[in-house]
Amino acid sequence: MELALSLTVGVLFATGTYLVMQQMLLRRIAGATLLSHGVHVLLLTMGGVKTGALPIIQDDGPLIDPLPQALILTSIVISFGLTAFLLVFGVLSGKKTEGKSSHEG
Amino acid sequence: MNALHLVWLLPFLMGGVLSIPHMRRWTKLLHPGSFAVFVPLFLLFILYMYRLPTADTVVYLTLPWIPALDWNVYFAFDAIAQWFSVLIIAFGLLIFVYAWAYMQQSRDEHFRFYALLLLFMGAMLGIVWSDHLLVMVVFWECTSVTSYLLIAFWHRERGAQAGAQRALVVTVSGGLALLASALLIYAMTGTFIVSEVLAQATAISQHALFLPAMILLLIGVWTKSAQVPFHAWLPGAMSAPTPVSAYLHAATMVKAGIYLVVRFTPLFATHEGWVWSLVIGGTVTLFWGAWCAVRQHDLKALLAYSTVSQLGFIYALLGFGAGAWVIDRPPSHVYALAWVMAFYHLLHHALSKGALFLTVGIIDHTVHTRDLRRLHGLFKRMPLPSVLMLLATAALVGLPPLSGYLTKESLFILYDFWARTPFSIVFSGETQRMVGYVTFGLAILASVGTIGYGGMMVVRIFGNNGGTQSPIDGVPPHAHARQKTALPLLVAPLVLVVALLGLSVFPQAVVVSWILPMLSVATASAGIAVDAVMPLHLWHGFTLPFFATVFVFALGTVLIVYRSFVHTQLHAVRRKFRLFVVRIVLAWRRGHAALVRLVCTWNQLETATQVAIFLVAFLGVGAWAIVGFYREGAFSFQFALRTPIVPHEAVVCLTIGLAAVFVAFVRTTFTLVVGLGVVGAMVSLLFVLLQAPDLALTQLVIETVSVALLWTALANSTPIPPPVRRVRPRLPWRAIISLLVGAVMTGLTLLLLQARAFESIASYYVENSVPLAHGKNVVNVILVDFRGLDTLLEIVVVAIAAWAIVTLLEQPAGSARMRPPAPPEHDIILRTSTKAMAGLLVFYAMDLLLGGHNEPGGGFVAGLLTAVAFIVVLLTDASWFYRAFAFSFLKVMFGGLVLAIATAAVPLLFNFPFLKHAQLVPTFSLYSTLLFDLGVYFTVFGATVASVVALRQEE
Repeated sequence: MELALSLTVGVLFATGTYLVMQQMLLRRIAGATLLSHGVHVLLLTMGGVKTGALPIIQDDGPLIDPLPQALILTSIVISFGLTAFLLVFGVLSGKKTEGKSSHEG
Repeated sequence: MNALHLVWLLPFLMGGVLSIPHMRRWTKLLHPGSFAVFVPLFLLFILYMYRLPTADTVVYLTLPWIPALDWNVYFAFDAIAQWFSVLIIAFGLLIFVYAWAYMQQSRDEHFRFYALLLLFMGAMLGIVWSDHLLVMVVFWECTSVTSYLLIAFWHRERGAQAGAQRALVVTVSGGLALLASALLIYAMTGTFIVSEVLAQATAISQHALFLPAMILLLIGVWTKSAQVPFHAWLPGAMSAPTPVSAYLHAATMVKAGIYLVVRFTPLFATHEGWVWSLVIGGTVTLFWGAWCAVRQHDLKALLAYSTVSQLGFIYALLGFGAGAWVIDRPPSHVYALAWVMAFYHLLHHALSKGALFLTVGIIDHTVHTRDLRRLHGLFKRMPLPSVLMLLATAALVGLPPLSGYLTKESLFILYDFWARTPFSIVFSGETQRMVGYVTFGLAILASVGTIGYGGMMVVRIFGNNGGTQSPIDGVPPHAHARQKTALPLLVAPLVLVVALLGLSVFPQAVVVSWILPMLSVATASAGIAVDAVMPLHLWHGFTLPFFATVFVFALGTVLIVYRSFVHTQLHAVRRKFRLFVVRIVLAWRRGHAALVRLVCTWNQLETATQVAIFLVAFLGVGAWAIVGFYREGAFSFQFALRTPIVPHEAVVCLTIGLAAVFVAFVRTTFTLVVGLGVVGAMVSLLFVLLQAPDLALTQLVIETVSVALLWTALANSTPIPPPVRRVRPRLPWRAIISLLVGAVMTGLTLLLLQARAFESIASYYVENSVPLAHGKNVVNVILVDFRGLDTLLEIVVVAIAAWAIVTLLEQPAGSARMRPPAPPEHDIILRTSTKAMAGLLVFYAMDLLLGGHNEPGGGFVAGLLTAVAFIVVLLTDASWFYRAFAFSFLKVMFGGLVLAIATAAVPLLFNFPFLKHAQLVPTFSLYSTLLFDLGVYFTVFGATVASVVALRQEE
């Protein structure tokens, strides 16, 4: 399982990097999203795969490491904010160039 | 916390308050100056209440910052700090009053101006109070930055930006030198605490790093005080508003260096080089600045060079005083004279130069020029400012019996003494005598220059040049009429001149009551009796200094009489000199241009290329680190693969990979959004498989919102253009870099699986989740309780992002706000059913929110889910949505933020730590963490809906 997860991390990072290096803003946003997915899976894998029960205390028995999950939860929300913010830049810049080209043409 | 903390905190707080954009609306009736003036008044009151009972008392104040690393904000309030504080605050008070009348621009400018001045004042007080080298460096840089912003205050005026940039580059470089010096001192002494460092003075004087630390500190000091050869920024800084020039660039900021020298003389004066550097550097600056001032036409530039020169004066005096630590046979009264005169001159200079700047400001304000070639016959026109200016100039150039005369006499006595007393162990007695007399000569010439520029200024402004009718060329003669100067403008220079006269008439009293107590602390480790200097005389008999003074006055008068000749000659000299000295200026300009070019080249690169360069750099450093760690045996390439691969899990991983590759190569916006959605959904499925229910929930909801958001933003955008086929096939370097990154990350993940340098701290959270935080969902407990601060900051970030989105998309205030065109009416069944569904979603969200502490859920996911419900309604029945929710969702967001912060802050009132949770109802498991989570909920909900609404209105 760890191997499959590591490969997934690799693919997410490779595609994310590729997209981040593109010209179009939308593609870069997509790249950033894929990169953050990659980081999330990486963190979760780091914490150990299936080392215990769900991180909700019910009865005795080892739980899975809750710390990476807390980290990732924070990161998910932040990267969502980032995506939305970048998107607005995309919308505004698209509008600007549109206005310019119509003005020139 | 002690009330004394207010002294440095209050300026920062008030500066921050004045920077709040809404303040301008809230305080229609109150002038920002009234806020600003209140601060120094209050601070003086506090300083008076908490004044040190005896001179050698030190009040230590510590604000914990990172106590675990013994890294705290240490302040030491001693006599020296008190002395400088009073100077800074009192001067600030006068400047604030003056600026009230001087700045006649819009209210907005007033707010900005006072905010910056207050921040500067706080930073300045921070410097003189800090007992920790790094804290001091931080405040030091704060003064550089505020000075930069104030110089560029009228940034549309010519030269303001260039001058500000030069000042910033020079002073910040000096700050870096100071930082380097602080680190070297730490390397030698093992402490950053100033008082502890000073205690080790003799122990480290032979250390190899001692001299470098001293030189770096001196560079920091000299750049701040605009000493030759770092003086060029100060005349450039004169594009600042005049109150700023008077406050920062004459009275306080340039004297931060003096404070530092006073503070560190007990440390560095154990080395002879300290004395030599200060005296020689000071004398050269004294000379150079004075003669540069002589050839200026701009009044403020003249005053700026004069400041450079006078600061050199003070450094030379401090250098003589520092001799007390080096020279074995101390004739105590000589050092005492040097120290006393250094501070006496500091006061004298602050008062006289401050008054001059302020009166020049009045002239500039009234006749709108400060070019000496255009001004004459001003006395008739504004008598009172003219009298003030004359008195200040007389004191500045050292006419007897004013204060300047006293200090100049003392300076000459000290040069004479220095040349006659061999003390050096580095240089022979002959060399020292030569240096002594050369510096003496330079100082005499400098005094001639001082009289020259002072006299020329007065003669030109008040004399009736060439018989022209009008006081200013190009202004009609009726402007001769007396001009009434606004009273507030006159208050500050009047106070300064009266103080200056007091200083001149009662030198004895000032020194005894005001300077000696502080000096006895500053020079305690030298063992000299500072009161040995008393009493001060104007008359010392027919000694060499007396003849020097006579010579100075004679030559100075000649200089004034033949001023136009001198001007021509000086400019001729400057032209010849250009070949040698101006090269430095050219080199500076060339260096600056090269820097700008470099930045421009970088900015002109495609962003994609920039990113690629960053990535290659990261990869390089990463590879280097990995190889290094591997060599050290930190890890081996044996991967710990514990769990077997289950087919359905492998399928999820495979789908993620395929969808990601799909996203990378799709051509249309629609497929891209869909592809991203697939990746997101599959990742949330993976979270389920990896036992992370909270993550899976949040990810799923986020995915929904993201797709909605992307779709709203891009609904009618153009398809992704196909890549241009290049004629010549090129190396697909983007693909290569991406594959490398992917491979490295895969390897890294596998390596991280095995390397556990230390135990996970997870067990602490698991064990204490129920007993300490009363929650069973450990992830949620970590978020809202154990690591609540992180979450608080995170929702602040989310709120800022949403705020920025809404602000960016807002229509400019001028244009009429257009209602969004009525969207096509959807089917009635769809419109009704989505509302019902939205209700269900909100209901479920409530369940997630309330149960979040013990079950999967929590404020984040609940907020997002509620947002989804609202967005669904918005997308299907927009007109109803706008009617039903006519309020701003940003307000909901800020409400949530306030709730979260308030919940976190309330425990402070009961002496509990920040974010400490409390049981809300006795015997019922309802804790304040729920309120905190509610704050998170409203913040996330408000932010998301506000963003989508803004984006939709944009369409």
